[in-house]
Amino acid sequence: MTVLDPAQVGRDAAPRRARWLAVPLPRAARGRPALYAGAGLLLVISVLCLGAPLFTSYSPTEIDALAVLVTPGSGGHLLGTDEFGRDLWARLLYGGRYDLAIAFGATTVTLVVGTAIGMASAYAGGWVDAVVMRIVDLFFAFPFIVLVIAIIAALGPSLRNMFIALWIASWVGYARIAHGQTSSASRYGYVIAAGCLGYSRRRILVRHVLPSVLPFVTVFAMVDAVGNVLLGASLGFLGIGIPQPTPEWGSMISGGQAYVLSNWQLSLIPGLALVLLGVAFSLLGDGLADLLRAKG
Amino acid sequence: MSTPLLEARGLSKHYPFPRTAGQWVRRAAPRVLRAVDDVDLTVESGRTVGVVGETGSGKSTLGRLLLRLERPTAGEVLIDGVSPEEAAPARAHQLRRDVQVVLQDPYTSLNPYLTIGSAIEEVLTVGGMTSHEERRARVAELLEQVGFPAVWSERKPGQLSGGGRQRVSIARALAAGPRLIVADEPVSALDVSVQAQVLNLFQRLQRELDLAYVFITHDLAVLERIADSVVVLYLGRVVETGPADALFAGPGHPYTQALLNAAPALGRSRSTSSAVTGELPDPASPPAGCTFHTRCPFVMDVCRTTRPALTPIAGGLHAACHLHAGSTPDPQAASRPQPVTPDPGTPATP
Ligand SMILES: Nc1ncnc2c1ncn2[C@@H]1O[C@H](COP(=O)(O)OP(=O)(O)O)[C@@H](O)[C@H]1O
Ligand code: SF4
Ligand SMILES: [Mg+2]
Repeated sequence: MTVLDPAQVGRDAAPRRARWLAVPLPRAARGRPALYAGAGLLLVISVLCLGAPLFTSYSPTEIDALAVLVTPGSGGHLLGTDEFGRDLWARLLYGGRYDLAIAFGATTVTLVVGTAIGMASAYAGGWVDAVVMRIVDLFFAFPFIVLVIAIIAALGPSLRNMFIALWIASWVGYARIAHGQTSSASRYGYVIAAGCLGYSRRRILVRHVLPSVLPFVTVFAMVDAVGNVLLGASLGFLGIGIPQPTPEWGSMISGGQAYVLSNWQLSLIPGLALVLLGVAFSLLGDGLADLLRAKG
Repeated sequence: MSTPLLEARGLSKHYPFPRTAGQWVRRAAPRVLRAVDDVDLTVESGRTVGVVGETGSGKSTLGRLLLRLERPTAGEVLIDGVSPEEAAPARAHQLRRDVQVVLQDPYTSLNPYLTIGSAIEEVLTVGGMTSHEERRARVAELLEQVGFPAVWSERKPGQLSGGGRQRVSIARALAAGPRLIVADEPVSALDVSVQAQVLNLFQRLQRELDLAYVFITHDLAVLERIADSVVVLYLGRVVETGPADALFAGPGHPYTQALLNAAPALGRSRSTSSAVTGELPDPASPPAGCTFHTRCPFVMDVCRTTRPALTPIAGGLHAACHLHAGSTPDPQAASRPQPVTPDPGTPATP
């Protein structure tokens, strides 16, 4: 048996490809400031919001008629109080829970469902694929926000209905991306060979197609998460988001509007929080996109 | 003669739409592109059938049909004389695994996310080998068979050269225990020196495992070395076929002659697109009569109107050319030669 000299065979080895899935994230993230900064910022925000009782002793909804519109730093209120005497810092921390829930809850469901539909449709091909993709086109023909508002208007404003609206309206983005990636992947030699080797459809899709779809939909999910948070806040601002008195950053911005000249921090601070959350997801998305480029 | 390992009869694949939107708009009537048109091909076990032709002649489509990756428009592909579609599920699964594939592009031929070892092991798992130790041992054996040390099973495809990846593709195909490998331009993307090594590997494996190959290439010189018989495709149709030594000694069809003149030595010419003078006609609207008449140095009047049938010529070869057949081909006179069975063809009405 001739065994080749390893050094000779591997000589013109191509640059590292696609190794990042195999290495633990912290190592992969080395030298990737965007990824670190985004993940770090998101972690800090999550810890503050989820651990809210550890960082404030006030309730976000308790009205204190004796401490209305307290200026930041005085009367034991770190960021002051709003027009009902509710502690702004407490509302900010507890309210962030809802924005985080929207970011993760709406995004993960659409990521999984949309990707699965797009992949299955592309792999099935034929008329099934044609029908599914026409449905996707139909969704894209509607302005996204109009669709969401229409669904919420039909179901009534609540956190649950906001999720439902976001799920219905935004799975199509993932479906389209997954569809495109799956179509290209099914022309790859290893996917064709898998068919000849008698692998089941599920095995081919999960083990051979999914790894090349995942990076694209994941990066898109980061962008989508920002969009969902902003949309949730916009709905709160419009008064059709999570109903009062539940604190949510969008509705806090909206509630502070009346005092924008005298107590501008009431709107500004939740606005800044929203921006920070958006920045965290954007950085994370950039970092992941970076990893992706390193792969190709 | 016993039942051949693989037999394609009257195989055609017609794609319903022309390639470009422009062509689609200009010609209102629905058209088909005859990517493969009425091709017969027989593979005996342990033998190599070479398929050659320029880019666009339908080689890859023929390969996909033989592999059952596409449904033919007409004709059938039999393995051991049976069609897997009509066999019982377990038998069909086995018949399919009997025919494996090696493709051209080394960079997409292996899943970049899997180690070489796990890619090969997966074939064994699906094939029903339940013992992990048994599988690892077999993976090591297969890697050695294609010239790799067993310890390389932990490597990812990204750490291999193009030639190395093609070796792994071959090992993965072998893991299914095939009797036939359809190889579509398996060395075309490789450096000339690496080409020779991989061709050697194909030849050695054939001897050791009694493998049959359908070896698809645009480079006739490659076939001179490994093919037992050759099928020359032009615009989806067989223009010449027969034993390799006779074909290389005295090709009968002007197209084969042109291909041969352009590729005098192994690996010298990597592209036959410029080997034959003139452009390949648009496959969506092939010339009438002999489809090669737009480029043929011997063209006669009859060539422009009447399609020549495949007829026997010297040396056991069959060629579709009026120079040999005259204008009155008699399909019944064509005894069915082995291992490549040509098709009598149908003369076009003037
Ligand atoms: N899926 C397809 N749909 C439409 N036309 C195709 C398809 N696949 C191949 N063709 C056409 O069929 C012809 C033969 O292609 P192919 O089999 O790839 O040739 P080769 O491998 O010899 O280069 C070409 O004109 C090509 O454009
Ligand atoms: S049939 Fe005529 S045009 Fe065609 S190859 Fe023969 S001589 Fe040339
Ligand atoms: Mg090809």
